[in-house]
Amino acid sequence: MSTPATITRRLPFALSFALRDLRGGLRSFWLLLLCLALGVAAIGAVGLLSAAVDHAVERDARSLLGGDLVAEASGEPITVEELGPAVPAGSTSRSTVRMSGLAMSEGRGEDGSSRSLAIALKGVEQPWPLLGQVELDPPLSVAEALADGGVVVERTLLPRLGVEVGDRIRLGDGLVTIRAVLVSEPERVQGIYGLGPRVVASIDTIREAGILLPGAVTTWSRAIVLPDGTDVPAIQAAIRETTPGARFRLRGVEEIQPQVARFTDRLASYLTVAALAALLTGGIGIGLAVQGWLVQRRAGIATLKALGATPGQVLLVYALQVTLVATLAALLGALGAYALASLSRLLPAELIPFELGDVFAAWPLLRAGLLGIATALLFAAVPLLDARDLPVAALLRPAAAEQRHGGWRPRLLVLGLGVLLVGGLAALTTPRPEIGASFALAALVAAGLLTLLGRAVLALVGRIARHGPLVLRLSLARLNRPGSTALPVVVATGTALSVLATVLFVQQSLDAELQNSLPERAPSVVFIDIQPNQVEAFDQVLARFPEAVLDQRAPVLRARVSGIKGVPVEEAAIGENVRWTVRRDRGLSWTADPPRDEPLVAGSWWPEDYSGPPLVSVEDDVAEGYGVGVGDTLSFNVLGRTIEATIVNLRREIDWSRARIDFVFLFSPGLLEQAPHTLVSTVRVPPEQEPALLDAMAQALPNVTPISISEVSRQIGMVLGRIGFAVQAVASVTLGAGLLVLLGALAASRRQRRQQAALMKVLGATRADLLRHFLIEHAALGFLSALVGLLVGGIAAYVLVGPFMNLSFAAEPGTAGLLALAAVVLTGLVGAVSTWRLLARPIAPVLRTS
Amino acid sequence: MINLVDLRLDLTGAAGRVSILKGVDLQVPAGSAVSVVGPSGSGKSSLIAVIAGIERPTGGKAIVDGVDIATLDEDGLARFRRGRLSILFQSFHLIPTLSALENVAVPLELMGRRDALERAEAALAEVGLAHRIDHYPGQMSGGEQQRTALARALVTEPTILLADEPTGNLDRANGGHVMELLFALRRQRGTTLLLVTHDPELAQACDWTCRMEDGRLTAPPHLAASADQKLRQPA
Repeated sequence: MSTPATITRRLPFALSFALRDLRGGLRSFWLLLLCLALGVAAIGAVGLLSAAVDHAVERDARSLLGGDLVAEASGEPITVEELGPAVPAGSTSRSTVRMSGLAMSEGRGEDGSSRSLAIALKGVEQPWPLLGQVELDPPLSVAEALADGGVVVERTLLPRLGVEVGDRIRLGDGLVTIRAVLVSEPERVQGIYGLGPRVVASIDTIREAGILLPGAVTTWSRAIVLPDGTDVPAIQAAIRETTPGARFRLRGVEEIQPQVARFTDRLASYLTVAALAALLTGGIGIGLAVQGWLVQRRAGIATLKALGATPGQVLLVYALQVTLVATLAALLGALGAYALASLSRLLPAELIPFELGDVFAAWPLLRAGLLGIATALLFAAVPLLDARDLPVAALLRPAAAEQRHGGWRPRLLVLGLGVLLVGGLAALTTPRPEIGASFALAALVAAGLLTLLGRAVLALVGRIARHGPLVLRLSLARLNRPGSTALPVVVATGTALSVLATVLFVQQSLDAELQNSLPERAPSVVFIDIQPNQVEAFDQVLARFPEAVLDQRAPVLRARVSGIKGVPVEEAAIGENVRWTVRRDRGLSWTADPPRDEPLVAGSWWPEDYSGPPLVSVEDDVAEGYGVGVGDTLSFNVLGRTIEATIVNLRREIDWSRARIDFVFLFSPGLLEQAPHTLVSTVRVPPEQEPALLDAMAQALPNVTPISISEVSRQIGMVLGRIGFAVQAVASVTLGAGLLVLLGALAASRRQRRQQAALMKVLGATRADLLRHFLIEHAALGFLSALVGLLVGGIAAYVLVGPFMNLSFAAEPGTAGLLALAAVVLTGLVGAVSTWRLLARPIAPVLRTS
Repeated sequence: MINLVDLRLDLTGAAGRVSILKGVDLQVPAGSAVSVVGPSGSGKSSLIAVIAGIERPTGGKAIVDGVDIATLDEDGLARFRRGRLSILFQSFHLIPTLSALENVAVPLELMGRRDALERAEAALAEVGLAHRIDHYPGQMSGGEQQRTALARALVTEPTILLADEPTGNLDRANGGHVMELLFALRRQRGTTLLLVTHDPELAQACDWTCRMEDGRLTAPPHLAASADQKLRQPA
């Protein structure tokens, strides 16, 4: 015999029964399939993109770095000799320099005035680059473009200076010609080397411009490409060994991935969390779907028990079916994830600056799928346990099925275990597990809050409706009736709205901080690279602007932390939160007086006239991360020379949000001022006078680079805007899941609504009356969801912005209003459309079957 | 075989607590066929439900095949029913997503019988449905569905068969056919039968007939004697 029954005969009873029962089709599971596939697709797509970026970074690590090894130091070029004898013969190396600069257009306006603009300047030694490709527009070779005072510029520079390719611009004391637009370049992870558009010139051109003055903030690199087949880590180790106390820091490709990951992991975590919210919202739909399906199967379940199936077997049979359908949904979701991630190729290169190739990867899809299946089982657990406990008496008395059997304890236990499993998987799926785990915890609190609030508003509306006119009684009272699906809908749609509201409110608070609060307390412009002998000229320019005020001025010198308590920094145990202080050269300063508003937490300040061996004041947080205290020593590599300083005091953690010039390390006066250094000054000036001040300063002191805080705000705002857009896009999927739940709830109550509509018609209601009732019911559902969602989203955003980010909460009421309106219109429309077909049904057949 | 002593059943519904069985005494000897007649709502189906362990008695004792069913938990009742007791329902209660063959095989599969499908096929052939084994309940007539249910009830060769208005949803011809089959197969296997029916003709076909009215059972004296009394009598 070859019937399907014979195929399943050798399987265990529960599995064979589950498979047979599923043959009836998956129609009952459309809601589960869609909700789960949507969530898995969102999580999987984020996972695939994140993995693809990791893969691309690993693949392109050499060209991203610029060589097999790169030595980096401040102030002076690194010579080949400095790298010592360990560099094998046949290696090639080139020098580059990165710095902030100022570009000025030649007088092009009617009054002959010129515009100035801070730029990120990079000087290269030909041939450049050693690895990877530079793309220019027009497609010149780099050698052609940079010859004879030529430069290539990022496209955004052109409109801001009002110039075009072929025009000349002023760079320091020199005039250079824009030969092409820089479309793409390798070495992108060498770090942000300045604010403003990128400009690349040859090192000679920069020298001739007179801006490579002593003490100027410059970062010099020497990229080395080793002969094929060289053991790179061995050479890296050998260079380090043969150049003890070198002033440069040697980096290999192994540093690239962690460096990129610091940013991408965080972004991918936020996106994963937004996708998790969509999956959990869909979970409510999954619960509804399984419940509806099992209610349909009650007779079968009771019969199965009457025939001798134990409650455990019943549970297994139906849990297996849910698992099988969830697996199918997870597979569909994985396909969707792959399709979505593949579409990322259509995004502009600015958003994903890597050639991603085929984005397929098994592990992110498997993780997303497993999380989806676990979520389905979590939300299906209570209906499944209800099926297990269904009394056989339900065959004879349907009312017996409605009574609760089996008690709460096993349900709470199963739910608790499910929450732990899903929370654990969510943490594992998030690139930064701590973000995933925090989200899982927050989601649990939010779910409780949404349910409580949902119950409260529905009860309140039910109570109010009882005393209202007939139309309200008929439409709103339904929201609160026994067996109503209003609560899951309010919780699901409320969740979706709370996620969107959280994202939008946080973004608005950040925007408000950047646009309003920061400019109020921060200076307008920070001037760097002021030579000690230019202070007088600087003050003279400033004096021409009576409303401009000098806020702060400090000497600054670039140096690298090289040792902690006598242990080389590479070998010292350093806290992860302060590791940034040893990754690159840091600005050091010195002062006789203790800084304002930075109280000491340990030790004491040096005497005003101190002139002994170098002493250093360290920020408390950094000292803790280094494991040092007062009396310990720190070593610094200052322009190739090692200086050891004793810690004499610790200062309270710097509040960077004050936007003041602050230094992690402050030295006693006496020693450092003898080294070539520059000064940094902050100035407050009314916004309308800022361009004139910058232009005047550029004319008088072309080597001095202004950093406009409004420009910084603009750039940070742009980055935040892009991140916000990505998170919003993923969070919108949550809204899709919320709508699916609404559709599922409507489908579940279809029979009941059909009967009610028929009865109402018998009593004399027109179709317009009925439509009005259903519209009011669903619009109210949308309004209540918005109320609950905005409240919870507002609380979440307030907690994130306040205690976590230390900013003021700023939410625009208009946004809240728009979200609420969208919820009302969407749910009202969905309700009306789904009800429309019911209205056309003849009455008699409906009444006969009820 | 079936000993009921002062059996009581109270149920709580929307209208409050209602007494359904008000002290039923009955002894059904092994291998005999006993019918229970009575008006609707008199408690006939509830009597079947208590004997099958579907409803728990509020008072008294129900010893079925030597087992006091009140002492069994949900799992115990399920295992007790397997192979020892079958029920034939008025509304068939076939599982709509399974074929006739699979429906009949379910109790055997629950017992772990590896030859479940072969035996189910044979059972269907016995009730004249060899040609319908792959049909789903929705594709069969009421008579065919009840014959399938009969095959399912007898395929495990239970010692007790409880039938609750088995012809109630069938026309006369189909009902007659099902009952012929039921009695013939019961006789072959020596199954004890307790049959609830409205049909006096059907009731007459049994060895003895009892009458149920308002939760009280009137039975021939030797069936009505309580188990205690019966046990005290000399053999």
